Amino acid sequence: MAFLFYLLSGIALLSALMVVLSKSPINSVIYLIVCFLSIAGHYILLNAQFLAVVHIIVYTGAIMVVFLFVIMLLNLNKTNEPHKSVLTKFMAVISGGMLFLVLIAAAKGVNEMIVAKEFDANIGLVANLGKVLYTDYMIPFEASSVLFLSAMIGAVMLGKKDKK
Amino acid sequence: MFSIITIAITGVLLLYLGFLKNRWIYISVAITGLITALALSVFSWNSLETSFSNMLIIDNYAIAFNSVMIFATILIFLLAPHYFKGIEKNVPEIYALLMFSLAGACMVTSFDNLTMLFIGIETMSIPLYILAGSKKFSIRSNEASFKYFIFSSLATAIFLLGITLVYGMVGSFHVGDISNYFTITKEIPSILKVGIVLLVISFGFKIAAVPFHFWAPDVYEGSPTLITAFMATVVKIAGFAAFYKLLSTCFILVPDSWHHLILGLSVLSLIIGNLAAIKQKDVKRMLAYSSISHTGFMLFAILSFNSFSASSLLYYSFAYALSTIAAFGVLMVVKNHMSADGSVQAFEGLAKKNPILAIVMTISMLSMAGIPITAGFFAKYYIFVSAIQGGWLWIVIIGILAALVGVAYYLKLIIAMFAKTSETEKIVTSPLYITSLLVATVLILIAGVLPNLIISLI
Repeated sequence: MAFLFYLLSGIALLSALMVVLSKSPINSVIYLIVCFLSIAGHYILLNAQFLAVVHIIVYTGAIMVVFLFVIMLLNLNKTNEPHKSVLTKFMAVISGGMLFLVLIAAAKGVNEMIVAKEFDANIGLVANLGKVLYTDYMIPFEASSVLFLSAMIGAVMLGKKDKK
Repeated sequence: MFSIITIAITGVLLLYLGFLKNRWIYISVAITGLITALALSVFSWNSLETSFSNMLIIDNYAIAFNSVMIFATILIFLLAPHYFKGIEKNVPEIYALLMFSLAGACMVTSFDNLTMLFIGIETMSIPLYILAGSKKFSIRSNEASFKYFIFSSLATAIFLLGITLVYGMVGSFHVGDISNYFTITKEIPSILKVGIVLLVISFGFKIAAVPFHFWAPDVYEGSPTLITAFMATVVKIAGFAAFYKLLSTCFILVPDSWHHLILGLSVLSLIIGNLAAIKQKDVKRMLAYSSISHTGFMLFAILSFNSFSASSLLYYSFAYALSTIAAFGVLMVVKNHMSADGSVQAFEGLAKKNPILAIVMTISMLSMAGIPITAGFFAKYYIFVSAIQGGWLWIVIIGILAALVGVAYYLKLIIAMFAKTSETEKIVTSPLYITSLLVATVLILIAGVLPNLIISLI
């Protein structure tokens, strides 16, 4: 199990780095798909099967395919990134590195801490998830319908062809 | 709870009414729904409601802020028919999205669980991305929409990471459990502090505090003016109410972690907001920077937690909402009719032919500057008193200096309206429009003369 965890984490980190580093957008998207798949593997290790499947269907299946289509249809597959000055890059590295340092330093002592909640291996199963979603988390679940409705209206409103 | 449901249902109803193609039906249904929601909200005063396994807690604090926000939305809707005159496309959709955004704002003020806070913030923001870009053929509006979307999504990601770190240490999303954790635990793990810092940063984005303000002037300028008025009032008030509630209920016991951050945000917002506002030619941009400086003042309430700070924040929100709506209301018509670009020059000589608009604008500017007998004076006064009680005297001195700088650019506009004489035309407005502006103005004066009506509420 531990070996699998480290393998998946390694793939996830490497592919996430490649998303940023690769020049062509298509390669970035494909690396992102690899990254999402390895994260789905983490969910399976945690016995969260529903989450893993939803993650694969929604992110890798739907969203990333749409990304690919957009990049291909709009012919964005050119490597003409706007040139950034050395100063900007330097500042970005400094600020990003500082955030990284803070997070690493903060996460360093986590292993010795008291566990806030014991891990329940059954929590990720569909039946338990459904029970929690329709009892305790009823209101957020219902409220997010308003959110999705407004997103849908937005897609129609902005996507519809209006004459000037 | 019922007021949130009413608002959401009114939004859905408006979508269906779009088939009727009658703009008076939209507006009457929208206003009826909002007034019902306001009444439901006000009548549940003093009846503490915690619903559905502690997801929402509707106490007097939430009711007071919800009522201010619903009232501000009513005033904005009264301006809407005149603003959308001649525009037939997408008006019911825009009204519905405003309703959904308001529903999200009402959830944000009454959260009792961080999940609910997250859903509320998203429900409030996502309609706004669309609304900011609702002038489809204006490139500035598209830019505003995209910029707001990118910045706000980044803030959301930071917010989620913050919640994750807090959850990882505390083991619960519930506000009560989180505050219990800090009473029990003496030594707070540093990763939890990072989580709190991330939460503060993401709220800094939402309320447009310096140095997280870069989106605000462009988005305020590019969006349709009616939407800007909504953004600058309702969304900002909801952000502040949630921010105050989050820090005062969850993290009040965390020693020396976020106070310095709030201090920095507040001082920088005061200085940079006011100094940048002086240089602006465009009135909308000037109001955007002035709203950043108001953020600085409102952060005083968060800085100095005491029994008085919640009510001073409420009073400031009320005064700020009224004067902002009045200012944007006048700006809307001036920008449309003078066929100008909305710069200060467009206001020159406004008082000659349009005395009512000029007086409304003057009172709202005076209120923003904090001149006595307008609500803005007592708003600043109470928030300073609250800060002094919290022991932040030197911050108050910076605040007073910033307010003095603020008077300069507010007066610039008033002088342009009254002293300069240039040929202007008479602006024709609708009765609803004038009603909204006059209600806002009269309330600014009433709240300025009788501040106890609001300050003693919570």
